[in-house]
This record gives sequence, C-alpha cells and structure tokens, in this order.
Amino acid sequence: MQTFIIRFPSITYAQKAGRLLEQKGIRARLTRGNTHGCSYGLEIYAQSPDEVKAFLEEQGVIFSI
Amino acid sequence: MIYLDNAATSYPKPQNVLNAVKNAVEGQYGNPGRSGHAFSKRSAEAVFSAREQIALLLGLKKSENVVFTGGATAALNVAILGTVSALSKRTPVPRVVSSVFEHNSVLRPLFFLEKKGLIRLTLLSPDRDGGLPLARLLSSPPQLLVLTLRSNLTGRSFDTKFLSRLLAPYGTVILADGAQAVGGAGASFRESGAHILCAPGHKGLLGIMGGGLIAFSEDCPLLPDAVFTGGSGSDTFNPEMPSFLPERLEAGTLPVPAIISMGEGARFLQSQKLESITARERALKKRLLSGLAAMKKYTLYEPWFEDGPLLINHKRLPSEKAAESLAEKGLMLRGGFHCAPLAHRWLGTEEHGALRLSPGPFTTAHQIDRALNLLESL
Repeated sequence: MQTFIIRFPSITYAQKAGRLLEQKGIRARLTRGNTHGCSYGLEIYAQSPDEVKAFLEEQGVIFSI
Repeated sequence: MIYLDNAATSYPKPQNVLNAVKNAVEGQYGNPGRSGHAFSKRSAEAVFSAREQIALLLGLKKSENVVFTGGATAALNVAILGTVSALSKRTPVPRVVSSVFEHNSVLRPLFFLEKKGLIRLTLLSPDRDGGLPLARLLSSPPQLLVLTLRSNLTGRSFDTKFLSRLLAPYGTVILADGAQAVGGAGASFRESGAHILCAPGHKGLLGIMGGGLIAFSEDCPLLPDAVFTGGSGSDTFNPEMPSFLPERLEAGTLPVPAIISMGEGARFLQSQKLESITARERALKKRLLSGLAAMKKYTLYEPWFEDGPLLINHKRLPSEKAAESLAEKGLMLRGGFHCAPLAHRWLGTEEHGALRLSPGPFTTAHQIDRALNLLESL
C-alpha cells in the first residue's frame, strides 16, 4: 500500500472520484494544488496509482486535462 | 392567509431547506472550488452534495451534468444562446422551433437571436388535438426544439418524449423549460425525452430564490458554448472556459446558499415521493376546479390539464382588480399578465390578463375551500 496524489481538472471531479473511491473502501483526502492548472487533487492510500486511475477511467471520471 | 402563488415561487419552504440555508449563511462557508482550506472545502462539499441530489431526482448518473446558474432565466439564456452558438458551427443559421406557450425567458432569447439573423425561428401553435402540428415540424426538421414541459399559465404540456423520438433521426437537440415541471412527476430525463433541461431552484425544487440549473442528458448530442466566461477555479491558463461540465458553464462564484437549498429541496421531494406530492396537488387542483365550475361566474382556461396552475377570469372583473380585492381578503394569487405574451393571445386573455391559482406541496384542502369561499364572494 502507498500514499500518492492524483490531480483533477476541477473540484467537481476530485469530489466525484473521492466519493467513488470511498464507496470502494479506498481512503482519499481532498488536497489543493496548482500544478499545470489542475486545481485539486486527492491524496489516496491504495495499492497503486495505475490501479486507481484504471478504476476512475472505467467510471468516466476525468482525472487529467 | 392563503398562498396560491406557487407557480411564482413556492411557499413555505421545507424545514430542512430553511435549516440548511441558515447554516450556509451563518456557518463557516468559503468560496467553493477556489481555495484549499476547511471553509472552502465545506462549501464545495455542500455544492457537490446538491449536484448529486438533483442528478438523482432527474435520473442522471453523472452529477457533473448538473450545472448551477443564478436562476431559470439565466439557465435558459445560457442554454439557448450557447446551444445556437455550438450548432452554428455545423449549420450557419440553424432552424429553431418553439411554441406560442413559452415564457419570455425562452421567447426573448429566441427573438434576440432571430433579430440578429442567427436563427430561423418558427413558433408553433397547438393543433386541434393539443399537440404540435407534426407536418409543419417535419417539413424542415429543426436543429433545436425549445419547449416548455408545463405552461406557466394553464399547465399545458406537449409530448416531448414522443417529439424527441420523432426527431431523433434528424439529430434535433431537445431543450426543455422545466420551470413549472421540475419538482413534480414526469420531469426526469427518461420521462421528458429532453436533452437539456432548465429549471429554477425556488419553485418546484422548494429552494430559495437566486439559484437555477441546466442539466444535460447523458446522450445530449452537443454541449452549449460558454456564454458567460470568467473564473472557474480550474484550467487557469486556458484563455477559454474549460471544455468539461459543469465548469464549462459555471463562470464566477456560485450562489452557494441557493444551491444548498435546491439540494435540500430535492432531498425533501425524494423523501416524500414525487408521485404522492403530484397526486396531492392534482387533487387540490381538481377541488378548485369543481368549486369554480359550480360558481358559473368564472371563465376557466384549458382546465383539463391535471398538473400546473389553474387560469381563470371573473366574468365581470378585470384580473388585476380581482387579484387586488382577493389579496385584501388574504388570498394570494397572481393577476394580470404572466410573461407569456403569445399564450395570452392564444387563450384570448391579452386584454386583461387572467387570475392564476397555483397550489403547492403544503397547500391543504381546507385552504382550497376557504379560497373558494373568497372567490365566490367576489
């Protein structure tokens, strides 16, 4: 398990991702960032970023611009 | 006091709405989607929760397809102007069809576009069967059909679901004005067949004034261009608005207390079941109708629509005078004109307007009976 941050294009998507991960039993905490215009991120505690990204993609959540 | 003006704004509001608004105004709420501190996050969480609640009410899986605005008029302007702008990239002067039963918040943006030469506009009147004349509609299928889901005068509705299926082969975008319908049964995307749905927060959704929404079906053929541009809390270095919903159409600070109130209103409606609320309101309208019909001193306009307001006129008193006299006796309803000029003309009420009676979810049968007594006394 590891802690990593995934950034989202807006708070709406960060929140949506947070809600979906929470439902899946994955811990995620909203953080503020400003990298490349991506305003919000989620600090996630899970197996790997790729696994989480694949899940979010499957759910139709945009996680990068 | 008897309040029968719910078509203008609902009264009273559910207790959970009042509590949430009080909390939003008095509590520690920052600007949502802008900063990273607790106040901002709390506010953003409340906005997100309202988005999800409203998506659920409208039958949407994607809550990001709910865009918040400052009201239904703002929503309709953004939806109409933005959709025409997007359509004009495919067809330089798109054909737009609408009806004579539309509110000025639909008609005026359409007239504005027509005057600028940006659309070819056709306004259809209902035919003998009450629907839109299909031969005229199909003679040159429109790129955009804008229709009310329920007239603010008589509750008249068109079969938008049927029209949506009929026009699907032509790729027509169906834009529905749900100002008098959202918050009641029959206004979900599945039931209405709409691609784009606009609504206020303070009528059927039982929120406070100052909020509205545009919602998009998951199969919406195209998204409107941004009409308002400005800060979106995202994609800062992009000179244009973000391409994705909802931020694409949400420029500037959101009306957070109004949004929270809409979300709580939707929660209340779901807890009470939309069908039961609708059935109750229909029964009240029927009660009003039979009482008024028995008096024989009122003209009733299109009383056969079971949902929405009831439009009447005293046979001897102009509507403004009647409304004033009733207000003095404690009955609040609306007289005069109701921002739907072509519908007034079609109904023959363009000279003196009409009295509109609109019960709401909290109106009681006893209040209807008292209202009938006051109407009888005129």
